[in-house]
Amino acid sequence: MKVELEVKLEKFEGPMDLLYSLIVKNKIDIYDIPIAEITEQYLEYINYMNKYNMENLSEFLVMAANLIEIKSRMLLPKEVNEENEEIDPRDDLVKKIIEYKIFKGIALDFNKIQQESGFSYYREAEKDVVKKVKESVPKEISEILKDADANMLFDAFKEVLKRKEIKVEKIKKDFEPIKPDVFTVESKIKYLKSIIKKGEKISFFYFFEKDSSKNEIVTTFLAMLELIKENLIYIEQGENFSDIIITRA
Amino acid sequence: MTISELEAVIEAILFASGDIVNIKSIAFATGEKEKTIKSVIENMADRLDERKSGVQIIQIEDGYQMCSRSEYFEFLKKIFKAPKRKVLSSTLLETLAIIAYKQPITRSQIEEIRGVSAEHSLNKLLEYNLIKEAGRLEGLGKPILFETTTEFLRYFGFSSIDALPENVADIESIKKEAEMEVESLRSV
Repeated sequence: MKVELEVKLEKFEGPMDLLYSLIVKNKIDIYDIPIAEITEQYLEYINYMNKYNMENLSEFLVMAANLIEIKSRMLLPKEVNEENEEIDPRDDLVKKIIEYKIFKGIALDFNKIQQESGFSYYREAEKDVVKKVKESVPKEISEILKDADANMLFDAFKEVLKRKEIKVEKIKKDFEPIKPDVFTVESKIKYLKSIIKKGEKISFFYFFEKDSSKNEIVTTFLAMLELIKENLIYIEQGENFSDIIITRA
Repeated sequence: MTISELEAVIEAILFASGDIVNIKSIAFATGEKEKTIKSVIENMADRLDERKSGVQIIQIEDGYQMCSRSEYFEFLKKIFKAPKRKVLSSTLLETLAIIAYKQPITRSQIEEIRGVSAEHSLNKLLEYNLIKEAGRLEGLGKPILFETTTEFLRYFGFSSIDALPENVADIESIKKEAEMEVESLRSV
């Protein structure tokens, strides 16, 4: 049962894909896989991949090693488990292949559904609902900033920078400069969102607790402004120069 | 209230809502028992189906939603923007299938089954809102667990996870089936 040229021309997604394809093309009984032959064909394909520099070769090698190991175990006397039954070295592999086959089948069913199902309109697609809600609820700047204003926000931010600078200065004297980290506003937005849950109140300065560099502080601040813009958080200040409280909308 | 009054109220509720309405909400609004509401809605949905009404009522988990009947899509799309119909590739479908039947499941568990990296598929499926993160698995590394979303149910027309085609993803049962087949062949 030599592997035909058609197999060689196919590009396989991964080792399971290749293995399963060999099994199907050779009409092999999954419950009685001729390991030696399958291993031989599998390795043939790997050589071919190597020759033509196909990608992902490394992923295929793990399975190759696995097949070779199973093959050699088949040559040795069979091991026995606690119930004195023989352990077939192919069992784990068979389980894996069957599971792979099952999900391939389910995926085909899913595909059938997605191809055949028509399309229904819903009265309001998700995006529209959010937009409508946003438009209908008046967001006065004063409502969001609740007795706070942009100047106050800026002052507080300056305070944060000052505090951090003192901290950073102290540490700077003892260490060599380290390569700067790259912080993105998006990741900071995600982080801030995860920290503050709906209805909870958090101190403005708390947001910057973990930040270590100016770069990071600025990014966090930008992320916070973005969240304010998106009406996702409210800010208010108790008294002048006191901490600013941030609430999740 | 009478059955027809209840029907009318439910009709109004489903129409007014843009999204899925939980049966509990309907129960709260009408003061009727969930069991009653359920059978009334099913009746309404059947009648709408029978006369191929432009509107249909679908069930998604514990809720219901009104939507247009897909048969009339070609007319609707002339007026309303036809949403970009994403067609999932086989890779995405396979990953999705695994998550659907084995949820909650981690990325490396998925990769164990498929034999390839799941990163790209997971990102795409998250983007399409067909799967979501659902906590972490206890143990080394606390990896993220994935589950399917209600959007997934809506996309394939499943009313709930239990409504997925018979769970053949149980290896033991497949094996038993195969063994039984072999036995019956032998005895013939």
